[in-house]
Amino acid sequence: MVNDTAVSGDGGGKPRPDRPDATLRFSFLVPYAMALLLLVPASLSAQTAASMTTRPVHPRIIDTWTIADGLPGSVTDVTESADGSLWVGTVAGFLRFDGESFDIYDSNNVQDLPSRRIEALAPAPDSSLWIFTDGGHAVRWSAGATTQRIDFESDALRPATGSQGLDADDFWAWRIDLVYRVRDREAKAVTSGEIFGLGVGARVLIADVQVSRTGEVWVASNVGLARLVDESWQVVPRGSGLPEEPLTDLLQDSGGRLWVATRRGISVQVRDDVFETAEQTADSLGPVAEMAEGIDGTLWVLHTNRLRQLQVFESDGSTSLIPLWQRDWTARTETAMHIDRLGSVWIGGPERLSRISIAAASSLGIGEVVPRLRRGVHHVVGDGGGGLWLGPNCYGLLHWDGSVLRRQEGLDLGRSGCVLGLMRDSEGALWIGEGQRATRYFDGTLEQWSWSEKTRPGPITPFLEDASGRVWIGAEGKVLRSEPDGSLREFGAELGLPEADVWSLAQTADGDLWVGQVGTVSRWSGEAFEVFDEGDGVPLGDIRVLHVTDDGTLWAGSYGGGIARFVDGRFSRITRANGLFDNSISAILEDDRHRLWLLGNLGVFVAPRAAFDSVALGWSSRLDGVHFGPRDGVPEGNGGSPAAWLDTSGMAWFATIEGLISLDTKAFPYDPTPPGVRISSVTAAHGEVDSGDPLVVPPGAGAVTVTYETPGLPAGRGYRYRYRMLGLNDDWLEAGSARVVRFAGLPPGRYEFQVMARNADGVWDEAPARVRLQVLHTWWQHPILRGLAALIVVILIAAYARRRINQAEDRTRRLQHEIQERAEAERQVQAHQRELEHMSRIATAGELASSLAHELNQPLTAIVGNAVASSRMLSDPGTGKAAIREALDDIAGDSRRAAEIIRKLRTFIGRRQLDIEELDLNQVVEETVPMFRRELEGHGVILALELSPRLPRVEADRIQLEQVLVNLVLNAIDALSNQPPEERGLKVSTREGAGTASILVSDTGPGIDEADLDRVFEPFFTTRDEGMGMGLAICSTIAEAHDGALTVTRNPDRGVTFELSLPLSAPGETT
Amino acid sequence: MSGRGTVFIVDDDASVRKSFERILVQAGFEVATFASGSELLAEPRRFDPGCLLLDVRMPGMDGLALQEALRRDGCVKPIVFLTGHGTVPTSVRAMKGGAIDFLEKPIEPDRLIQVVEEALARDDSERARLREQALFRERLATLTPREREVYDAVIAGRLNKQIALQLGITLRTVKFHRGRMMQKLQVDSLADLVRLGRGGNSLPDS
Repeated sequence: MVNDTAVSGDGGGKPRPDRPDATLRFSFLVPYAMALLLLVPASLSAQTAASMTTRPVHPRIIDTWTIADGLPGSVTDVTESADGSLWVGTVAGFLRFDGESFDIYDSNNVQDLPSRRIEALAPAPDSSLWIFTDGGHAVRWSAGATTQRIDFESDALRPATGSQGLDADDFWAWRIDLVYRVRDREAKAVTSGEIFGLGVGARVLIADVQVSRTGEVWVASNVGLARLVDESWQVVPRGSGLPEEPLTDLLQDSGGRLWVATRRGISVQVRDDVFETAEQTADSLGPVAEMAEGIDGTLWVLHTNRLRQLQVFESDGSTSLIPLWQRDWTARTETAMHIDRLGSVWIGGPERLSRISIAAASSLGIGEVVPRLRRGVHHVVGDGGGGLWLGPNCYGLLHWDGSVLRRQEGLDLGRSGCVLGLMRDSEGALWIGEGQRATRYFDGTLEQWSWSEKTRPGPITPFLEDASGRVWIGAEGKVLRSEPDGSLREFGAELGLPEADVWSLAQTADGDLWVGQVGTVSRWSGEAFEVFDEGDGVPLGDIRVLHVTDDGTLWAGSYGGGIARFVDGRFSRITRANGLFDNSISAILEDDRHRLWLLGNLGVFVAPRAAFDSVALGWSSRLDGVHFGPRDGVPEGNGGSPAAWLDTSGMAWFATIEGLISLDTKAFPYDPTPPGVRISSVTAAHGEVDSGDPLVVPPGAGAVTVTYETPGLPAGRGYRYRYRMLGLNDDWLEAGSARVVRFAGLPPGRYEFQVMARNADGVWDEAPARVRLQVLHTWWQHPILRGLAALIVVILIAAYARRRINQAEDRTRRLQHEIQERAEAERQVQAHQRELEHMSRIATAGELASSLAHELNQPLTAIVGNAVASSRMLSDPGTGKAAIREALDDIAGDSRRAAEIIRKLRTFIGRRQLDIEELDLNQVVEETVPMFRRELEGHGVILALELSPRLPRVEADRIQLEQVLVNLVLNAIDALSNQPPEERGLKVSTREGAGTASILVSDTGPGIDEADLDRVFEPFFTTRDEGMGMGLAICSTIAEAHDGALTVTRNPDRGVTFELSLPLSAPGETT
Repeated sequence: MSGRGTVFIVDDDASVRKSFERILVQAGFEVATFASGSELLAEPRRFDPGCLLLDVRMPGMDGLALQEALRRDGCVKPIVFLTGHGTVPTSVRAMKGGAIDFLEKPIEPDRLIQVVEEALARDDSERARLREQALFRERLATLTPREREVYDAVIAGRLNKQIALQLGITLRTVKFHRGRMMQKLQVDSLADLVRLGRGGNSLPDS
């Protein structure tokens, strides 16, 4: 399927993968660049620098869902309807996927779905969906119901791919040898031979059909490319540059150019009938199975051996194909590829559905520059010119100027080379902390201060430049201040500062200095430290960050205790209990829209400052924010000073264990579209809810359940919901990701249910979806009715007495009549039973039809081949008689084999009398296996036969036993077909019991609920889509008619075993 | 008609295998038959020139799985699938997977012979193409660095003038290197060079 999203040229929305004009561009500040030159040693050649060119890239996140996640079976197609919902077609129904759970639609909940096997899906121009099913049917699915149906005369149809929604009044569908046009509800077929001008029956195999925006229809086949012009088919002539190879796929891009794939590569249309090779692909990639256009002007190519993304559509109109991303992604039979409007690539295949999405965060690779480095970064500050200084702990200092990342040489960082803190002061000088020493580096000159002789440095060296331009340095148990004379002045324990490492420093507008240590925050107002601790609400753990927001408020982020706001002489904490993403916070940034971005162990979190305030001030209990984690390309955060940096372009940089990552604060929310929640159903536990406004809930209906849904694409992070039931509770309640609310015991009255949703980026619906409800009074709740009730009781008593008398009279009459009828009925039951068995066998044979056809085709194929070969041998003097005789013998043998299959089928489905004979159950099993052998292969089920040697014989009707066995096996195959391939085991065995012999059919399927075990033999009990649920009931009756039994038990590990046991024939008769 | 390659038949049904073998041998083809995909994968001759006739539905490894296994194995012979009734959807997949045709059972013997002829011809031309490219790559290795630069530029579609500017050499020198390069690569025309060059340069995908 090809999506119909146009490539949008500009930014906005979700972050895009690499583009030449990405917003991540920095300009250089000339004086600073010059300063750099002074430091770069001559040995650092230009070559080395160039090889380190590095840009932030958005990682690709791959999510895969399998049967274990609720996917009902192999995926055949993936598409998006016009309302933005994602739909998946499978071999067991179609489903809507919201990123968390599958809403499955199959024959169980869609009455008129022609088959549960979905061949293809196509969106219609409105929000409805066309569903092409097995058997050659197409139905239109609109607002939860099928609204239209088209039946084609041939199977295996799929819609043509095109840029517009599938219009019911005019569309194209195809299969390998036919193309259908449906217009005014009439389907007209044309054969592939006709299209390519080779005659109706010519053998031309179609690989793809594409309808362009302008209505052009293109057909790709093994003999070339054809298009419909003025209602007549024209074949693109040879010599047009089109490959001579069979074509495997077609794609018309948003610029109108047609791309044609073969097993060798890809060609592109340059003019009307002129094609050029765009790429010749290596043989190892395998043929191109599918192509799709990405939203960023790339082409995604699903080879049979690999999935690749290629850069195409250059801005000047030229084309280049650059392998941007490769992954050993075997397509196998995976041919369902869809690119959604957010740019995520969906790939469906055998029992799995995968999404490749572009992470919100981008990451700057570090490992290439410092190979020894475990990629982690701790400290990051801007360089004043659009670049960054990075401190990856003890691997020196790195500088990134926007394109080149390199290790900064020429700095004497002591023996360890550790950078433990960074700051850029107002003069533009860089301060580098090393635990026991600080280096100020400005304009090519270095100044250094030491304050400790310890060889092991402390954990961190925070810096702060105060309002008067003096620099404060945090150390172990003290802070140091640079004095105008160039010395450092110490402030420590003697002034009341706790003896612990200083983690963080901040200055509030009133000039007070704040010092964060483990479990304490101390204020310096010029005379002594005032220490705030746990008793004042300071979070436990190292106070890793102190931050003063634009409004002058002090915030403290701790390692393990969440964050806290300083209010009225106390700290007020916000933790995970309030909805904070993590209790370990190492950095706080504030963007220009007053949102706070926090870095923690679990990633990055953002929420409006007002939301933090409101929780800290006790106005609300929950913090509503957005968490970016590994699924968004955000790894675990590191501690640092500072561990995050907001640059002037609005890009927020975060130090993590996987290097530096960035999030664009200006572009956030990346998905600005509110989810637009809608209420999908209101039901009551007992009784129907009447439609209307308000909805009427009948009296005594019990619990009311409301479900709601959001159209739109599933995002990496889940949607969230809140609701309220006005009339019951006016406050909004958080529903998390639940899409169903249940209200038990709503008192009679009028209500309004309201629900709102929030998308992954925290954008809430502007208005709630709402539905009004009226719960009616039950009769006893009306006082007027109570009098009436008393009256009714009196009447009922009188009526009861009268009825008892009538009943006695009736019973006598009925008994007489029944005696006469019973004899007749007995006769009829026998006849009906036989008829039912017969009907069931015919139905069973119908299910086996394709197996039997294949079974018959084999000898026929051999016969035709041998006959023609013999005839040619006869006219070939070189062939001996023996060879000809051998061929003729084979013909005779195969003819007998074919006749035997037909005989077998005829006896199986024929109308017949019971024929009880002595039978060997092993023989019955062996002779029945060929009837379902192909069915096993078709479903990938492995059959194991375990036949007990020297099994005593039984007296039974052979055909009826075969019927039971075939039924049990077909049921087992059905149960197994949704299992993972390696779990599709079926065992048929025989065994001798006490006076019985049995056939056992044992599967490794999902099993049967304990509660249902007894019910499986009841008529009309079924879990299957086809059939009436009579099979097992009839089988059970057959067993009883033979004085035997059909039983079912659950296997100890998984699956069930059916056992048909029959009494042995009288002793002495055994041979 | 020997030396045209072997027809490898994989079908689990012995009579079908035998009858196909008879027909094809009678028509002068060399035939090797196998009862299963794993039998074929264990056969050292599978890399010999020829084509493959694979039954789509077989117990164990089916035709499509075998097609994939062969491709991973590096065996790129043309594949024709033999299918029974009701396997049309599978056929589309087989075609997208690079099969060249499929035959529905029961199969008309003349049709079988015709398809096998086509498949062998395709294998032949495919092998010729690969040989030509291998040879071309060998010759490519004999170019001097400068000739290689000129070659890369020509393949990228640049004119002599542009190449001179790009490499900082005179037009005459470009023409000289270009002449030597064409001579070493033994190609007569630009079209041939580009055809071979693009093929030979196709990504050595790792």
